[in-house]
Formats: sequence, structure tokens, C-alpha cells
Amino acid sequence: MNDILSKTPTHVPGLDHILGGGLPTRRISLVAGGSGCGKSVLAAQFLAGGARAGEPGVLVTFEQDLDDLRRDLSGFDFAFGQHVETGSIEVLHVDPGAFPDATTGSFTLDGLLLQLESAIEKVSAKRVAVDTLESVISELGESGSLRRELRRLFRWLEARGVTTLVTAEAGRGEAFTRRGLEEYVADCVILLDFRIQNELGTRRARVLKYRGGPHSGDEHPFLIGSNGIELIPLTASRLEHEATRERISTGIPSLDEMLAGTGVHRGSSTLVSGSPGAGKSSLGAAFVHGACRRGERALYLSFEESPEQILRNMGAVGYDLRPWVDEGRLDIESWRPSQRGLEGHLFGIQRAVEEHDPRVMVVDPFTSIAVSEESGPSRSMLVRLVDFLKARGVTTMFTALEAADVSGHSASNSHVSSLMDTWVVLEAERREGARQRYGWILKSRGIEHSRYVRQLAVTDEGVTFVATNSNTVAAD
Amino acid sequence: MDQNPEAPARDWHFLLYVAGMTPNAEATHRRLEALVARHVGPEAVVAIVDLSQEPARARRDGIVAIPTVIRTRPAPTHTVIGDLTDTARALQGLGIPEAPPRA
Repeated sequence: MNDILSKTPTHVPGLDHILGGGLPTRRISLVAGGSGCGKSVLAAQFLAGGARAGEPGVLVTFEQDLDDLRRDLSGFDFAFGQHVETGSIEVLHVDPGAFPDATTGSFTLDGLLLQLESAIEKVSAKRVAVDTLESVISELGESGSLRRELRRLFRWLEARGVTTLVTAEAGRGEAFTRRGLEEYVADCVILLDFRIQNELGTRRARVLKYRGGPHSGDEHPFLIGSNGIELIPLTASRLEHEATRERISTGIPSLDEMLAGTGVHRGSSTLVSGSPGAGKSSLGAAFVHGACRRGERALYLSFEESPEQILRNMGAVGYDLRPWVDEGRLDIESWRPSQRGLEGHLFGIQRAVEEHDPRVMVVDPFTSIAVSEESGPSRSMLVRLVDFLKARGVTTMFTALEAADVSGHSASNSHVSSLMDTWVVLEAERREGARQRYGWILKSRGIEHSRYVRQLAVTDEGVTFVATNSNTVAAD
Repeated sequence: MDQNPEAPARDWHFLLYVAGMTPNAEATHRRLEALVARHVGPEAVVAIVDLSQEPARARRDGIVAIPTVIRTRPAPTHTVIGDLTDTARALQGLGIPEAPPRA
């Protein structure tokens, strides 16, 4: 049946993309999540988006009446209240006061169906959102009658020809929802999640199930901003990138020489890890400087220093970036790591890339916003960021801070390094009262690279990797 | 048990909400009549609201489940849902003191 494949766009930015177009038309979709994760906002957005596109809708709410909703949703741009006034959204508030003092045997939900029918008819609704069905279950008590009637309600909505979004409390462990509602809803299940990580709240969405259509089970970071929920549309298209043969200079001739003489692949990602003062930012500066000299646009994103500090410090080590900035070829942006959560930063990076359209980018240091963990969500987000940059052909250098007392390739960056095409390790140590810096290439995919440790000379004429007499081979 | 067990039977009013006079609706009606006559008194008032005849009342009166029985008088309002096969819960839910067993 065509119905199964037909999709109804949610008009939630980014969500339709991961749903392959939208929710299954004339079917029931479930959005599960904990309190405060954005379920109700999503439900309102789904209806407002429909109303805007000429598809009226009904919001069935158990917890909030129309005044509560107007107040809660007034801060969003999607004009929910206005659609209610113009009659393209009908709010059906089922008062918990109407719920019974006792259940005395079997019953049906015909009362609710009659209320729904009149609300749907009133606005000629094509969409229905129910927020949240748990309220009904907890008020009426779980029973054979209720299970049968919930099934009947869902089948009734489908037969009525409306596309329905039902919100539910997220469950623990195996169950997606607290009351096991996913048993009734076989077509589409979306999970919203809100976590506190490194004192920053991060929100993620995941499509757990989509019958009759492909979907990725990836977690997608999202924001709740003035538009409501907005997914960060970093696509998982790892295999689609054209493997480029083009090589570009790192901006440091001696480093290019260590990379088979020609630098890194266009569109690749390079990790530069090292302790504070090891020279990471200088490599970043050389990278964008080299790009600008080739006539390419570049973006330097700093989480540590202001643009003015960067210009001053990098001028002192031979990379005079100011002319490029004045010319508009180089953009330097400084963001405070605590300014927003990880997903906010990734969203910001994507926006910045779209706005500045650089061919070369430096993120310094990436570790300010990413969490060190083996396989956590920050890794999956980094995967999508790297994919996004690759797809756009942006050659990127990520710097990463290593703890000073740890040798260069400690485990703390290993979760990130597997995503990187090239990994340059920098080390600094005090010897005879002077700071000595070293650097070597730990890996570089598809490039026959030098395996020797070199001294890193940082002078007012730039950075040079100087071959040492000892020719120490870098340990893997 | 309840605040108003002393009101005379004729001051007790019950509304039974059904959606069409189905056999189930009729059975629930019979059970309600019997329960009220036995535990409140024959003068108590039982009225039926058939939502299939007055669908707008579902929303106006906030009816979710069928059948629903609302004790409208004496105050406060009591509501039960279901077919009243569980008499003890029905009495409790409607705030009706159980009559002493007949001799």
C-alpha cells in the first residue's frame, strides 16, 4: 500500500531529513523522552508546521490547558497561538478533573473518541498530536480494557486518515517508554534525550524504528531555540566522499616533507595533539597562513584566545595573519567553551562553515568542547562533524590538549584519533633550562610518512621540524 | 465514609453516560438502578445521557470513558467508569455507604 511509504513532513528543522521526509502519513508515530527533553515543543511544532502548510491539526493535551500552552509556547517563532486563533489548530484539553474516582469493570474510550471526532471535524484536521498518553493510562489504570481501547484509539485515528504524533515518557532499560506504548505503535518511534555532560546540557534525537523505510540509528544533537527544536543536520555519509588525490601543504615545508613531500589530502582531518606550549596553535596558524597564501579562504576557530591575541602571538612566530583578515580571506572566531553545549558548538561550527565557506579550517583546541571518552556521544558527534567537513571538502586541523605529564599518544585522544586521517604528536620538555619541543607523525592514512622524531623549532620566522642527529624512530 | 450519607434518597442524582443503548449500556443501566435502589433508596434519581444522540456533550462534560457514572448530587461530585460489575468499587467510588444486609 502506498500509504506506508507516504510521508508527512514534521517541518521540524533537520528532523525530516533523518526521517527520510517525515512521519508515516495516516499512521501513528511515538516520541519518547524524559521530562524537559522537548516532547511537548515537538508536538506543538508538528502542528504549527502543518498549519502553516495548510494541514490543520488537533492537539490533545491532558496536563496543560490552552492558557498554559499559550504561555509556554509564546517564546517560539512558530506562532502556535496564532494558528489557534485562526482556527487551523484546535486544542482539546481533557481535564484530569474528568477522570474517575474508581474503575468498576470494563469500559471503552468512546467519550474520548467523540471528543476527538468533534475537534477533528471542527478544523478539518489532517494531523493530531497527543501529549502525553501516559496521563490517560495513569488516570484510568492499566487494565485489559485500557490496552484494548488504546489499540482501538490508534486504529481509529488511522482510519480517520490523520497523521498522529503521540508523546510518551521514556522508559528505563529495555522499554522505550515507561508504559510500553511502543507495543501499540509499530510504525515510527523517535527517542529524545537530555543529558548533563561536563556541566553542559546536551540534547539528542534518535529514530529507533521506522517501518517500511531506511533510517540511521544515529544520535543527532538538537537545540531548542526560538524556532523550537532544531536538529543539527550533520549527515552520516562516510562512504559517499570522493577519495581525493589532491594534496595540500600544511604550511610548513619541513612537515610537508615528512608527509611524503606533499602535505595532507584535500578534505582530510588532521589531529595535532600535545601539552600546553608544545606548539599546537602555531601549527594551526601555519596551516591557515599557507592556505591564504595559496589564495584559499580559511577559518580559524579558537576556544582559548581572542582574535586579537591570536594575531599578536602568531605574528611573533612568523605568521602574520592580519593582512589575510583585512583582505577577508581569513576569518578568526573565538568562542567560549562554556557558551553552549557540545551540540551547540557543533551546530555553530557548521553554521560558521556555511557562512565563511572556508577550504581550510582550524579548531583550536577541539578538546575544550569534546569530552574524552572511548565511545561516548561526543565521538558520534565528532563522526558527523568530520563527515560534514569531508563532504564539503574542508581540510581541517583539530588541535587536542594532552595532559603535560602524559606522553604524546596517550589514550586520552584515542577515541578521536581513529576518525583522523593524520595525527601529529607534539611534545615539550625542559632540558638544560630550555624548553625543547619535539614532533612526529604517528599516522597518516594513505601517505608514506616519516617515522622519525624531529625537533620542533619555533622561531620568529615560523615553525620548522628539524631532523635530529639521533634519528630516533617514533614509538607506535 | 462519605460526607453526605444522611441526605434523603430523593436528593441523590446520578447521570449515566453511554454511547448508544447497546446491550452493555442496558446492562450497566440495570446494575446502576439496582445498586442505587438497594443502597440509596428507590427515590434516588438515575438519568441517562446518550452521547450518540448528543455527541457535543462528550466534550462539554469532559467524558473520556464509556460507561461513566457521575453522582451529581449531593455534592461533592463523584465519578466512576466501567460497567459496574465490581459493586464494591462502584459504591466506594460513588461515595455510597453500603446498606446493611437485609434480614
